[in-house]
Amino acid sequence: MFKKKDVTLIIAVLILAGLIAAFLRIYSGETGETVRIMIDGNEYGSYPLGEDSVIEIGNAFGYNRIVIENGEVFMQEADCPDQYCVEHKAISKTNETIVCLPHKLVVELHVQNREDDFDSIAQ
Amino acid sequence: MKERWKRVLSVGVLMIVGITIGLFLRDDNKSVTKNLFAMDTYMELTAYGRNSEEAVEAAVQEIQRLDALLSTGSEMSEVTIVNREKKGSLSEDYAYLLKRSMELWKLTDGAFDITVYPLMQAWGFADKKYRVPSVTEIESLLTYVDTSKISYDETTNEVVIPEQAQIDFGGIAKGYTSSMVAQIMKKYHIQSAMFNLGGNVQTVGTKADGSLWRIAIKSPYDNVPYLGVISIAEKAVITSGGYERYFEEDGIRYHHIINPKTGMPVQNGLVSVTIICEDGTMADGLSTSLFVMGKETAISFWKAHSEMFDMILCDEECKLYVTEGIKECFSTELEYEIISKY
Amino acid sequence: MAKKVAYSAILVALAMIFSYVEVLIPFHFGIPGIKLGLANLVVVIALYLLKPSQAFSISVVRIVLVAFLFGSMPSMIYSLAGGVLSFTVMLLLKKSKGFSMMGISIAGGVSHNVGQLLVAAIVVENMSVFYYMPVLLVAGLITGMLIGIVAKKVCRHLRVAID
Repeated sequence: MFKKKDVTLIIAVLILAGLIAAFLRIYSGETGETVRIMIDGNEYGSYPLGEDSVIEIGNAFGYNRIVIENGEVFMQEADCPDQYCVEHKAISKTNETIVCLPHKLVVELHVQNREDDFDSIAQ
Repeated sequence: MKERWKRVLSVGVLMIVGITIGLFLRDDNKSVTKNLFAMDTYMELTAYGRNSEEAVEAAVQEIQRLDALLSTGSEMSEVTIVNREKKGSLSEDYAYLLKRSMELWKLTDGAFDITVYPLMQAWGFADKKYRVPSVTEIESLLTYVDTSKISYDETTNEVVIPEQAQIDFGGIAKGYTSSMVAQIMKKYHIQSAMFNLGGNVQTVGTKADGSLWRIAIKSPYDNVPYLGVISIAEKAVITSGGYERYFEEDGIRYHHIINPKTGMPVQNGLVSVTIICEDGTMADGLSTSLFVMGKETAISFWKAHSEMFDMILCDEECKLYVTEGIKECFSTELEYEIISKY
Repeated sequence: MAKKVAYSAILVALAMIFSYVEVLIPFHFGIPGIKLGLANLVVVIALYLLKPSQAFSISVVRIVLVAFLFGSMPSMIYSLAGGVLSFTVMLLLKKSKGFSMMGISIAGGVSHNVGQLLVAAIVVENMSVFYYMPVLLVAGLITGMLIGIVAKKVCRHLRVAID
């Protein structure tokens, strides 16, 4: 059923898949973690945790400034009445969230291709 | 010629059937996650397997239905109507919550009390207009706080409450909602699901791969990432702590868990109470009331009812007290003490 | 000739059924629109029974038809990229000799997925889709093998019928 070249082809594909998987595994530590911002249940945007940046959001719900710095995310400023999101400590682990309830805004950490530390947080 | 075509056709049909079955089986691995804002909090629902789409959709509708029924913020909710009319003929959900609340009131010797709402309003936790009420105001409001004054007739399903009393199921509503959502998952034959209703975690079955769910317990301390991680299946994990809602005035922090006996925010050395049990409604009610009780009373309460639940207490020294039923499935880097029944 | 036209039509119809099954229950590779390429079976058979030009037109016609009937724009672009790349690879390998039907089918399955992924990377402008590369390579290998087995059996019967 198989010819010699067929077998070579199969082995080549498997080796290639393995190499790519290994390569991704090594480099995913830097690129895999993303900061996802959801507004009213819909995704607003995703940003790499590894790159420092400032995300400003102004919409009908209000104003929020989210800062990504040294592998951590925190809410620097918000014009919501309760300010719980600003007081929330910086997050850096998968499945951690900062919620700004009055603005229906959620900042969550999301990691692809990596075993999570935990599935959810009771608080 | 004809015979051959038949053979080709049958091979083709067989393949299509086989592939379809294969694809359907693969569908078991799919997962659906939905986020929503309801009950004044942020919720996340995830279900795995076939029907997960429909199940999560039904769950969202159930949450919205209960929110409309139980919200103190809406003029039209059953809770608001009963608080206004001081009497009413109850819906199934309201009646169930009332019965459970009265049971819990008895069980916890008054530490769980749904009639504490007038005090919540006085402190501003109902409408976020925070203030510190005067001692006389607190004392006069405390006279209305008494679950035993609610008269409920189970046969006619009628309730009558005293003129000044107000009922709020806030200490139990999210737990009840998570139990109801878990039932919906069962109805849709979902083997694996997890929901986080504003920090109240409820799990259905195990994770899709058969392993246990790992739930981290939030730390109130900035320098401690988590109190620990608990591995569970088919259980609710509900934490209450003073760090959830609070305000500061003149340098003093006032949080939202009001002791129904003193009318003041609880100050007893505990910073958080986590309850682990199958019944989300009870877990929610107990997490608040054990926080009110304080460490010693909470521990003796557990010793008397250890078959009902397990718990993790955290005190101001960042020390944990873990009941023996979960010592195998709880991991922490903090100092802890195992509480055993005898 | 008429016979060959009839064959082409039947093969296109069969390919559409496969594609329909795929559209109905898509595999969850994380990228919407990416498909497994079961319809490749028909293209492999056509490659052996008919002229390359006919086989090519079967491949393109079924993709366009399926996209119009039950697909979306991105899924058509993915399918076209996958279809054209896998056809080219299969044709080249067939001409180069040394590969059995099995090998050609595997090469077709793998290149079908690679083609789709390349287009997906361009469409979503995000290199992170390459995370799916290893999975898609192995998936292509497996479908290719299955298709190879079936194609071999089908061709044995069809060739007798066609001559």
